[in-house]
Amino acid sequence: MSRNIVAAQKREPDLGEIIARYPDVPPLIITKIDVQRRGVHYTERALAVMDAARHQQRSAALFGSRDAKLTPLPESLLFRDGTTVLTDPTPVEENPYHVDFLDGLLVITDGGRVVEEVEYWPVPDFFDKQTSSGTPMKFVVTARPQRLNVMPSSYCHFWTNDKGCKYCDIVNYLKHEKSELKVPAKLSPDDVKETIAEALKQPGRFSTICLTAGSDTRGTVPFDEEVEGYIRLLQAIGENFSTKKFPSQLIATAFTEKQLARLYEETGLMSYTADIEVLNEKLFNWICPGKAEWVGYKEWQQRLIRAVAIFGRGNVNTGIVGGVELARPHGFTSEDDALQHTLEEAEYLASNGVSTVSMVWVVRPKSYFNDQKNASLDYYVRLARGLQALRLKYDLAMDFDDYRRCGNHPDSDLLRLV
Amino acid sequence: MSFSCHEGLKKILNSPDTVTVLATINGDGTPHAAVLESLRLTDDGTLEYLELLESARSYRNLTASLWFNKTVSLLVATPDGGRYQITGKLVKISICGAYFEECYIRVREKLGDMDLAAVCFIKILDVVDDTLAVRFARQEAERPFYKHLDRLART
Repeated sequence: MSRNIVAAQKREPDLGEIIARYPDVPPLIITKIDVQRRGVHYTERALAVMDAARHQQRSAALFGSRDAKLTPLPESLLFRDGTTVLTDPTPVEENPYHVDFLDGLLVITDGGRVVEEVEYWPVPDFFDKQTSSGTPMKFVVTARPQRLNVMPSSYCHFWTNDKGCKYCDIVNYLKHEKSELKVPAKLSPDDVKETIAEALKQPGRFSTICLTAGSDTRGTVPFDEEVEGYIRLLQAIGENFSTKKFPSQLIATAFTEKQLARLYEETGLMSYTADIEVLNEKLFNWICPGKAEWVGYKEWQQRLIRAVAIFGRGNVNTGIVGGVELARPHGFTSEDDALQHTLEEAEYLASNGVSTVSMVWVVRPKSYFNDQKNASLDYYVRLARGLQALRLKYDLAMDFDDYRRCGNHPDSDLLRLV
Repeated sequence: MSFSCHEGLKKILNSPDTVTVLATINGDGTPHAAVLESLRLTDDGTLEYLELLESARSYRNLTASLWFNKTVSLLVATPDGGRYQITGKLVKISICGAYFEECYIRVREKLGDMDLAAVCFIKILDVVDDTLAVRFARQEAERPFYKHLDRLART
């Protein structure tokens, strides 16, 4: 990140000003947004109290981080209200918050001022175990405080003809992870089933299972291979449960009705997410050329809407990379215009039973957009309020993607009040 | 709160015969009251409340109280007519980790197939003895106009 970007960031209203500006938005959620927006740097004191026996360390992930490293660091943070903060270790010169250990407390600081008390994520019991095939279980299934993550493949076929999403580093990161950590590029259903079985031995630890991976265009009908892979995995996972359905989420490509019906009927899957990434057709075509080529913007929307009839109202949503609609040179030049347009399109989806959730855009060094700047804190707060207001207006529940079952969407954190 | 008071309150709160009602308000000021099934006073003087239901209105309001720095009120009633008003502030909501899991196991041992949403920690700001006799004596002493004259008439 250039010095100019950091300087521009410092000219924007700071955390205290934004908290004062939006008294209806919890200060802790605004703080979470800013911590995700700016990233974190762990001080030596903070790292000294990280205990591998108790705290989860950075493990296999789908995407890279701002520091482009795989060194052992805490996986992420929790606030005192149970809010999950997915943090990105960030070089000091990029003006991140600091995680420090002061007066016996783990805290985040900004310019030497204590902002909030934090905790490291607890490490799951299964993390130090291996499957019978000898694969470390932490490379098969990863974890958030209450969620199990299964990422069957980090390869995204949109990258094959160089049409990966421009903010994404999934394939470049896969190469990095594979060579340094020896993380398997593709998971076996047996390994996944065995790891989930081990995870379930820890009472009270997990409340959902999330599957996600890169898109796989292969098959008689495009994405049949991807669907088939998920069905095999979900069926293997399902053998661990006494009920057909179990709390679960699939974040995948926008599938056809036939593909979605198979996923719903042949597995225990309970909810479905197909991330549209940016709510504007022109920007979608530019930023997500692979998705545009294989599905198209309007068809992506319609597939989401059709999914509601299969999974049920309140069980389908789409994710956007908040702020990427402002990417240069083709994005919106004003945050007001970007917000208005995004919320209008999100309303169309909400009126058809599809929720929209936002993630804070983390500019990743191994992505095409590696030299861009994400949006202002003010923008992200207004986006979170706007998306939550739409859920209230259209009476859309979203229990499968809330603070506990995901934790990566400031807007869905606000569901805790409803 | 003095040590003796702490011990007394601990005994009352930890008794199975005590009924505790939690009063909270939601974002638009609507009040809500709920009988708490699992509240105890810890050794360090913090109230620990096990919220069993993720969907409970009280849980949502407690979250709001932490988020917006509001207090909550608890009414503690004992079978012998004792009443205590506690004003507190939610300081932490734990939804995971070793202690949460310990509580989860305890809840299921006690209640069978039940769930646990959160362990809520409430810092006590004030405790008032609200027993009718004590309140009446206090009113008599502090608010001499608050009485009907016939009570003072010569008999």
